[in-house]
Formats: sequence, C-alpha cells, structure tokens
Amino acid sequence: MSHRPELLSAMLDGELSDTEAVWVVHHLDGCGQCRRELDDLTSARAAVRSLPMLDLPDGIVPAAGVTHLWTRRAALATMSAAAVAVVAIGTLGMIGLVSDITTSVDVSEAEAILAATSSLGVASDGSPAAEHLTSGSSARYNARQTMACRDEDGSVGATVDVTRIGAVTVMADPLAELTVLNRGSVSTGPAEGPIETVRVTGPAPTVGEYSVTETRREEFRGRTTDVVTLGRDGYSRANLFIDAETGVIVYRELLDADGSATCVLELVEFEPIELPIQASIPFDIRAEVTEAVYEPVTGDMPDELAGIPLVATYPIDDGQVAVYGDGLFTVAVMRVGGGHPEAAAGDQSVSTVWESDGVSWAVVGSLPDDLMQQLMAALPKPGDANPFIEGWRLLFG
Amino acid sequence: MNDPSIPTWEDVARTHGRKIYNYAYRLTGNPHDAKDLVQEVLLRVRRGLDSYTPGSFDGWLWRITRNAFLDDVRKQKRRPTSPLPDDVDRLSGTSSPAADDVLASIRLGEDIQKALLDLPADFREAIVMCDIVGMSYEEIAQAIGSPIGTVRSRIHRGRKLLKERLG
Repeated sequence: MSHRPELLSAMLDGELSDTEAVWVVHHLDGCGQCRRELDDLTSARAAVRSLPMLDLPDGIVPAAGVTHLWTRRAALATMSAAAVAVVAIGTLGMIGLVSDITTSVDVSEAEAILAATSSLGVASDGSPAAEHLTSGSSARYNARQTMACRDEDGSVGATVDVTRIGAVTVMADPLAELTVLNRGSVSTGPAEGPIETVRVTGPAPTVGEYSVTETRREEFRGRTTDVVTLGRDGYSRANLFIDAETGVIVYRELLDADGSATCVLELVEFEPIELPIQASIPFDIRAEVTEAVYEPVTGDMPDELAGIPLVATYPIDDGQVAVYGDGLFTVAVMRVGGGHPEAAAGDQSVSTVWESDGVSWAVVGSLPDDLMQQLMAALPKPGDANPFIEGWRLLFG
Repeated sequence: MNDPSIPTWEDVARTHGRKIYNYAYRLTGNPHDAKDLVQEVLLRVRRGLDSYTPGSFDGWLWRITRNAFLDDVRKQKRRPTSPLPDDVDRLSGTSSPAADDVLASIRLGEDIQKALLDLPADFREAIVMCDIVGMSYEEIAQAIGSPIGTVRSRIHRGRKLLKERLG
C-alpha cells in the first residue's frame, strides 16, 4: 500500500479534504509505520505550539503622521506597467501587444493537455509548439504562451501567462510574481517588493541575492535548451529551461530548500504573434536602423530618487530601465537613445515621456504628487542642452 | 475610507502587532530584530491603509510582513542569536520547585527555538506561520506566494526534521 505521509501533517491541522481524510483514516488502520510517523509529527507540532506567545514590547508604535497615500492596487499596477514598459521600449513601441495579457487556457484544459502529451505543448492551431519554435523568422519569436503550474502531487494549480516580444520575455503569474527575461538578464520578484536581477552572461554574474549556480546545455523534449540554475542563501531555488534557438522559456522548476521541485511550469499553449508593424518595416531591419542612428545610453542612474532606493536595473537594446522601490512604492525610469519617446506614449500607465539632449526618458507608474515632483526635479529636463534655455533657467529658475 | 471592512491603523497595531512580533521572534530568535520588524511593518501598513482596497486583509498584511522580513534579512544578513534570557543562570541558583519549573520550561522552550532556527528557512517560515501565528494553509500559500501543496509539504518535512532534532 502506498504511503502519503504529507497528508498526516495536514490532517493534524485540519487541512484535509473529506476524501483525503477518509483515505488517511483507512490507511492508518493498517499501517504501523504511518501511525508512528503520526506520533512524531504530533509531538513536533505540539512542541512548537507550546512556545509561549510573547507580549509586544512597549514603545513599538511608530511616530504619527501619514507619509504618503498609496494603494496596493497601484503598487501592483506600477510593477506590471514597469514590466510592460520594459517590453515596450525594448521593441520600439509595440505596446498594445502586451498590455492585455490574458489567460487563454483554463486549469482543467491545461491538465488535459499535459496528460495527453509529453512534448512542449501545443500552439493555438493545435500543432506542436515545437514546430513554431523551429521557424527561422524572427517574427515567430514573438508569442503569447500559457504555462501550466503543476504542484508536487501532479495537479495543475494555475496557469501562467508569458509574453515574448523581441528580446524580452515577461511572465506574470497568478500571485503577481514577475519574471522578466531580457537577453542576458533574469529579473524576478514579488510585485510588492524589490525585484532581483541576475545577469546570466557577462563579467558580473550576479546582482542582488540570487546567483547563477550552474548553466548547462541539454536536450529537453527534443529541443536544445540552456538550463540556468538560480540560487539564493546557499540553496538552489529555480531551474529555467530556455530554448537555445529562440530564447523562449519552455520549462521552469521552483525548488524547495532540499532541492526537490515544488512547482513546475510547463508550456501548454503557444501562440505566435504577427506584429502589425512588420508589414511596413521588417523587425530586424528596424533594429539595425535604430542601432545606426542612435547612440546607446550608458552611465549610472542615481542610487536614490525622491528618497526611493534603486533596486534593479535592466539593460535594454539601446538604454536602460532603472527600477526604484522601497517595498510599497515602485516606479521605473527609462532612458533610451533619442528619437522615439513615443515608444511608451500609448500606455496609460506611463506618467511622463520627454526628450533631453538626444536621450528619450520615460517614467512609468504613478506616485503621490509630492514624490513625483521630487523625482522629476532630479532628472534632466527637455532642452537642458540648449545654451539659451540653460541660461534662462540659471537666471530665472 | 469609512468602510467598516477596513480596519483602522490602531486596530491593526493592536490585533496584529503581537502576532507579527512573535512571528519575527520565532524566525530570528532575536527580540531586537523582532521589534524592529513590527515597527517597519506597521509603518508600511500605515502608508498603505488609507487607500487599501477591501479584500483579503490578512493576506495583504502577511505579504507586507514577509516582504519586510525578507528585506531586513537581505540588508542585515543577521545570524540568529540565542533566545535564552539573560537571567537563566541566576534562576538556576535557586532551589524552589516553582523556579525549577520555570527554568525547565525556559530550557525546553530554548531547545525548541534552537531546533526551529536550525531548520531550512522555508520550512521554518511555514511552521511558524502555521503553529505560532495560527494561519490556515491557504493563508500561508497567499502570504508566501506558493501553491498549497508546497505549504503542506514544507510543514510536513519541517516537522519531521524538527522531531529528529528534538529527539
């Protein structure tokens, strides 16, 4: 008879479904090993619960005075907007394509797809996703994907939307965890907290608490993939399987402290996106034009803007995105080579777009008015490079 | 803002402050860190509460708490310190039965706390949320951003390790 020891702890906590409870009671009747394990778990649980509840020490209430008004919803929207804007700038203005990320496959459908295939899932026309991944056209690399989140017991708990446009892949899972894959970097984190950026390639292999503990190339379900293992606090935390040819994430494992996979994301739906802009200007040619005309923006952003610390930077094609956040307040400041501030202008979440001295700037996300004013005051203004305007500012403020 | 489903800041401080303190104390074994964390969380709640949209308040609060805790750990890289009170040695010099009982319960508590601190952080967090804070598996799943199956498995494996360490 098979054992399901993890059900024993859940039983002690009253966290079993009726079916599971019946199964456990029946199983315990004939299994001495599980009865002994239940005793062990009971005593471990009782030990922790015997710890006294300590009183809150005095003097713990912070000083009065609300500093800022902010909503969780706004914070979430800002983070999503930041991720969307990364894509928008990185692909020169193809914003509408990612602003409406939707779940196209429901959980039961995803379960059925996973049960029926061990390949990389299916495309929207029913063909294997792998066929689309082998296409030579770069436009084919732009795609919406749905990945199914499978729990340890094999059940599908949720589906996750992934959008890939150009070099940037954005995953937004149901718990508002964001992962942005942009050429050589992976950024991930909760929408409410600082996100961590890891450089997969280049001389500085890590930023923040995550580090790349291993990279290897291996065959995965008929595709050549780069497997990147991310670690934190001395433990491996996630394996990303990235299709070597296209850069599409085809599989992701989240690892527990003991190295076992607690949740895997599998590709179940793949829908290539035809870019409307491609009819007039092929994507790759447009990229060449951009590189030829505009100088890439380099240089550091300030460590802090309006009192909000810099938490992450993403390199993008010809510039940089700097994300400022303090846990509740998040705003992204983007700089790209000049000439296309309209790249972000179609998105309502973009507060301000301007150009100064050949550099296009965009601030994504809304902040309380006082903070936004402080932030804007610290950034270059339109016309800063114009000697007349500079003189005017000097004289008249 | 006068929505009755939204607690006032004072309500939060009164009803949740103690839980947050115990959560942090059991995770770090350090009363100073725990106190700092409660202050930080209450500050973040205060900033966000005025325009908080009614929903799962506990889920919102515990995500803030957990993020504040993780931010703190990242910043400080603190090592857990012994939770043993300073006056235990003095207590051990006495011989009254009542004092012995107190001493025994402190020692026992110390062993349990030490075993907790030895657990991998993910397991410790799930167990503290379940057994100290009293959260349901679903609430824990929301707070840590993982599926319920993960919560179930972490609590289970954490308890097994704990039992091995406590004997």
